[in-house]
Amino acid sequence: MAVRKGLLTAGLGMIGLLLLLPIAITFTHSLMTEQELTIDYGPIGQRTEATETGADTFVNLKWLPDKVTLEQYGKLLVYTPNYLLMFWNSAGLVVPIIVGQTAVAALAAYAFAKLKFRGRDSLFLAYLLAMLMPFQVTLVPNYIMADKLGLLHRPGAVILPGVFAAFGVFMLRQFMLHIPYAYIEAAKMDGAGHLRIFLTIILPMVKSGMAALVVLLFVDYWNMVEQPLIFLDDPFKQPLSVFLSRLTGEWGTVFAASMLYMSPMLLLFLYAETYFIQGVQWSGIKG
Amino acid sequence: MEISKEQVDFKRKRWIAAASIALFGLLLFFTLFSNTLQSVALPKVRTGTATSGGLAYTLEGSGVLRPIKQAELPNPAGWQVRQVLVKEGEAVKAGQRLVLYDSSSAERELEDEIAQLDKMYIALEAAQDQYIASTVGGDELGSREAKRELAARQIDLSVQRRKIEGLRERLKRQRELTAPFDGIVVEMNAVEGLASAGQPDAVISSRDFGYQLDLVADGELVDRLELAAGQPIELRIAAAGKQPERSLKGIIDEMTDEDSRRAGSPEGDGGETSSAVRQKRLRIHVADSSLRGGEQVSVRLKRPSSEKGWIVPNEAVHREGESKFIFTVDQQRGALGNVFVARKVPIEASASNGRETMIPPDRLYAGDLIILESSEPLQDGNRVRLQ
Repeated sequence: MAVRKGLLTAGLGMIGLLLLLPIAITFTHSLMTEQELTIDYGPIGQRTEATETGADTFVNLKWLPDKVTLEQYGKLLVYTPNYLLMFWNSAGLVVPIIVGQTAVAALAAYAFAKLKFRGRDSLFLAYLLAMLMPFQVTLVPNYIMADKLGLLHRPGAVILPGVFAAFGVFMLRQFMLHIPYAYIEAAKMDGAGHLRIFLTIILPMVKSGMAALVVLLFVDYWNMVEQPLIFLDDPFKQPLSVFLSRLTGEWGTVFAASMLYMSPMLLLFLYAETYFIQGVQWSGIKG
Repeated sequence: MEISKEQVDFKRKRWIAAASIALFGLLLFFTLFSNTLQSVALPKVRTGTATSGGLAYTLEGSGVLRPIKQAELPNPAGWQVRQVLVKEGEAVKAGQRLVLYDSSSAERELEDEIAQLDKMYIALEAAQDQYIASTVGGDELGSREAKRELAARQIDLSVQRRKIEGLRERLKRQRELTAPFDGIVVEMNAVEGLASAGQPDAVISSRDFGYQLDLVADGELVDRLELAAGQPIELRIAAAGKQPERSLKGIIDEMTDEDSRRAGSPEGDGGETSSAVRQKRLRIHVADSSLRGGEQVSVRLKRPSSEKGWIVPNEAVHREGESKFIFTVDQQRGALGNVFVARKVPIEASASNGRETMIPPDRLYAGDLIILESSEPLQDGNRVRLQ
């Protein structure tokens, strides 16, 4: 038994390390100089004279930089103003989506979980179907609708579908189902209306669920590429996730940009870690 | 246990909040100030706009007018000057006497020779007498000898006569200096009482043939100005003394090729590149009765080129091997406001004079800024800071 447990721990530990590997590489490489990166990664995907003659085509993967430097971060912050603009573009898209979707989802989830009305379950099923549909399926209707609303090439075209996405509703409903109906009945007996019940009883109880939702949404929308690529034609209005894929010229800058790009997510997750783990456990959803 | 866990959690959250604020603050700072920070390091450029129009080709030159026909008259025998009859600047006719020389020694020599001739006549008479005496006396041998003597005397006599004739002629010729043709006395070096030293006593220039000016100019410029032999050209005579500045009409008499000159190009980048510049000599003929020769005249010909284009100062033109180019300033939309970028514009087909270069009209738009000077060497696509 103990051996099995030990093996399991070792196996899971290995998988955990493997998952951490890209982040660790990104971090250490962001501290390398451009020259070092060019030497190590020069011939990736390129047919050079060296590779044609049958020389070694493998890259020289190194863990630690020969010389630790913050040069790449400086270059990124001072010489790549696009990066900073895109960062704020990302924030400008993600924050309204998260605030909006959390608010809409909490209200809708309350209705689906705690109100009794005709057609509730079939309506919820329709909602679930919308969630299950891949993004690419709803892309064209979304595009047409954004065009009709006059939102095309504006941030609203990305924000609106995000605010009314079904995932938050589903997740928060699962949370609210766990809340015994007795709380609500007791409140009703004391003369509380639905809004009061929602604000003072339900919301505090699903705090961890909300935190989990915020983290999941943040990860989801901070990384979105297709929506802004399609709905926003002006490259200076697109978010960082799109821009990052275009930073191909200089490897060092790409690594540094990735690190900076990752940091808000990391900070948010660390901040809401306890709620997040709780929330995911409770709702039975895995991110 | 529970409390301490909450405390740890609180501490951790505070730390994360501080880190977030620091991160966002940093990003905000660089968003607002990265452009400023960056522009400090950008090359500073001085710009100007191109003007539309033709290039003005200017030929400038000056020189001294020389008479086409001029005679230097030396002292014929090196005698002392007795009298100077004309002054510098005086008009003279052909054959007019200019200078008289002291010929007394030659005259004395002539008299001596004449006296010698007289003496020879007397000797001849003596020989005749001897011949007659020998013939009458019947001395055959003496008679023949006297006859030979007589013939020799006669030969001597004619030699002496010729000598006197020569002396007379020389005296007549060398006693005075006469003008060979109608003209002006340009120079008069003869001084009464002195023999001349090296220089010609007088210099006479002819009016009838006019004056000429030699100018050397770049062949390309001459071609651009479409100058050709037989064309009229305007000259200016500098103010001299009481005479005010005035203009003269001249005619290009002939154009000949000169040796090329080596020229360093002033607009070349790095290193003096020298190239051979073809040169031409213009001979300009001027006929004007008021001229005396020796006047300083200048030529200034200005002609706009037939084709039109953009005119930029030569300092804006850069050279790379054979090709030439200029840099213009492009305004591009950047992430944080507009940025200025140097754009390389090749200008192969360009004409140039000393100060300006003309480039084809399709290379620029009206109002394009052209970089005249940069604090650092530029390359295509470099961001720049406008001064």
